[in-house]
Amino acid sequence: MIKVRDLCFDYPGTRALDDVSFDIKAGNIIALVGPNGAGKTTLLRTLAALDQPVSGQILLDGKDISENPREVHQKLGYLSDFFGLYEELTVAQCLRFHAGSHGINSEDIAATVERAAQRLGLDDRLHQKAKELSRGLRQRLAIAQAIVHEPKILLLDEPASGLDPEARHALATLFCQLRDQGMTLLVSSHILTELEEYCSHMLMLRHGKLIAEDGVGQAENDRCDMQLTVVDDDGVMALLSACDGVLDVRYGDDQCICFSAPDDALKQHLLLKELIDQGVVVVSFKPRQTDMHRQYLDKVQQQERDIQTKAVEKNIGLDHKGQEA
Amino acid sequence: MIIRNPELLRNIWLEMTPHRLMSMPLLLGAYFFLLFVMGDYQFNHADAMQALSISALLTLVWGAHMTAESVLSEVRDNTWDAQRMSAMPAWRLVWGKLLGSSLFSWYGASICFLLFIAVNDFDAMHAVKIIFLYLMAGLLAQATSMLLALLYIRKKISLQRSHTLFFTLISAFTAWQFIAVAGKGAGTLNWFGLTFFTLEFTLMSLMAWLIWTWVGCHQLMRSELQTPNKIWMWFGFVLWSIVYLTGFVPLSEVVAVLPYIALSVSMLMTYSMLFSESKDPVAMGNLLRILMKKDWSQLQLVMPCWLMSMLLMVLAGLLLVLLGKPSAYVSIAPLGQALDYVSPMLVWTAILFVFRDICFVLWLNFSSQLKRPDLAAMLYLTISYTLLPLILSALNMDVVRMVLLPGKDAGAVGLVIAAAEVLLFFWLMRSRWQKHYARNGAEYGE
Repeated sequence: MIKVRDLCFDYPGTRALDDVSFDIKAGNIIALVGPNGAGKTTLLRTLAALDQPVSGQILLDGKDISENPREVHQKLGYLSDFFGLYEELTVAQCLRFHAGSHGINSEDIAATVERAAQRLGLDDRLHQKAKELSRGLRQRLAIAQAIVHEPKILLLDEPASGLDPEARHALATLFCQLRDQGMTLLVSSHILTELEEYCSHMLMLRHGKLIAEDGVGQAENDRCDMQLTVVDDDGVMALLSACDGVLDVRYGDDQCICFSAPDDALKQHLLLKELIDQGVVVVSFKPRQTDMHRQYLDKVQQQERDIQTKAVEKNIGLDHKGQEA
Repeated sequence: MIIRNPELLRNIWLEMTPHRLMSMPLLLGAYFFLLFVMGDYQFNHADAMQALSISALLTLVWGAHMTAESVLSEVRDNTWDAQRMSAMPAWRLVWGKLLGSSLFSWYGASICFLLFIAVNDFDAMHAVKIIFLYLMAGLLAQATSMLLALLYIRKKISLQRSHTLFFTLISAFTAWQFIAVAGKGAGTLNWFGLTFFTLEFTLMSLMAWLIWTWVGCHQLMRSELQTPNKIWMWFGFVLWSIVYLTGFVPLSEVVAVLPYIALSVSMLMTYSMLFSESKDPVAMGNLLRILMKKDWSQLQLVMPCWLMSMLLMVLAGLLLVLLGKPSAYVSIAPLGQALDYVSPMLVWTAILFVFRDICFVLWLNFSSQLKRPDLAAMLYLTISYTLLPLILSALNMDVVRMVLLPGKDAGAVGLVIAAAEVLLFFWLMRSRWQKHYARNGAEYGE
């Protein structure tokens, strides 16, 4: 549905998006995560054809959005993190204006407004002014405005910020309903627990780069992320790395040893047996919980390791050249 | 028709509330009743003119304030992105805002016009023309105000209420000039050898400028809606301005004076757009990349108006050097001055000074420290073109003045000095560019 290729976006002196590429399939809720300043808002604004990238391509249903951004706007709904409402207008007037401004026929507007209000649970507040609504209701009105024209894709930037837990849960339920009705949602946030409730996939941005594009909590290619705790870890890393089918051996953030093993009970049993046979005192050996938070931290750590490895390789290369010289 | 423009409908909801609909006639009615009582229970011609003045206050000042706010408040209140993502075409959004936001001021003005029609001493046709003049002036003030607001938001600088006041005052003053010219009397003037009554000519000029202002609003709104504009509209406006001003020159001198006017107008347009348009370093980088790729079709979509005007200025300079042999002291009424023969050396020196100023303005804009680089540039350039030359003259240091002003008698020395200044400021600009913005290597063609 959305294809992003080699997307770059610059602010003066800063590259906000650096060679970002990914695909989004229809009917999913995708989490866009990353720390503050990672480029999440910039990516959403660029996808919404509100800002123009320096280079790269965004295809929506196979069409380049830079060629006809107005057409794209009809297929998209976008809720900014700092959204505004027409405070003096009633809920019905706000929705009616947005329906009209998205080209909905005047004879269909009343029904469209009613449908959007019902979806968001605002049908009993149609005659209330926007300025009189609570924060949670304002958020709902803003979302209702963004979806009043029934877009295929909804882009939401920090939609739950400032909401109480009850309102957040209601929002999560709403997002799932919208997905079930065929909408694709891309939701940005840096509060991962909030996204876990409803997102099926995750895009991770850091320093403007896409560091991972994963399914939430999903095993990759019939493999399983394992966690090993031992009494003495001396030589265990090397031993594990030499074992058949074991990949990506590393220390986890809680000082246990993490690695990727085949997602097969028998193979895991044989691996544990081999470790014990080799004299390793095993305290625990279990699949690692792959919640969104852990997945994110793992990727961040992996990126840091990659950066360090590259830096070391570069230094070795420089030293080597220096010696040759 | 009204229902089909949601922006107009939204403005009607906001502006034409029952309370306001009642308060305006009550307020104006009370004031006019006071005039009626003070005039021994009858209206006179002076009351009719007062009604016109109030209408001007409502449409030129209040209306212009509202049209500027119709754009600035959207940005300030974070509703602009939603409008930019709507399906409304640019023109529908422009006229929905122009008419909708100023509707209340027109409601009041129409009451004033009714009183004017009822009590003025003019013949019917003249009265209609005067109302038409005030109507057009009101529309011009409102369109100008929106144009300035649309230009300003492209700079992405924080918006304050004072900006609305500033745009309102500029717009009202501009539109008032037409009313002032028309009010000077029942004289005539010549334009391309044709004789017009001042009022009629003012009305025609007003209409033409109004159309161009609407075109400007439309073009800027298109840009806001991510629809690229081609440069030909701006090119057309500059050409029209040149033709409009040339019309005031005696027919026999048109060919000789045209290059002067072309140079002056394109120079003025270069400066006005240089200070008005955004000089976003990223957009400048994009422009540079397109230039280096020689992608001409893309270039006409991203070329800033100041650059286009600058190219026209160079062409006009060339034309002036080749054709400009005016008979001495041609009088150009609207410019209020006489033209003497200008040496080619002075023309090129003046053009080099413009290049220098462009580099200087860009140099300041590429600074990461300055909050308002255009304002700073305007201040420094004003000082360097006015105060400093006066100080140098007072100190009998006329030779040094050549560094600050293109001197009439400077000749080749003046040209060399100007060229050296261009090189200096170009180097400064380029260095700052490379230091702050060209970190992304090949992206900027480095």
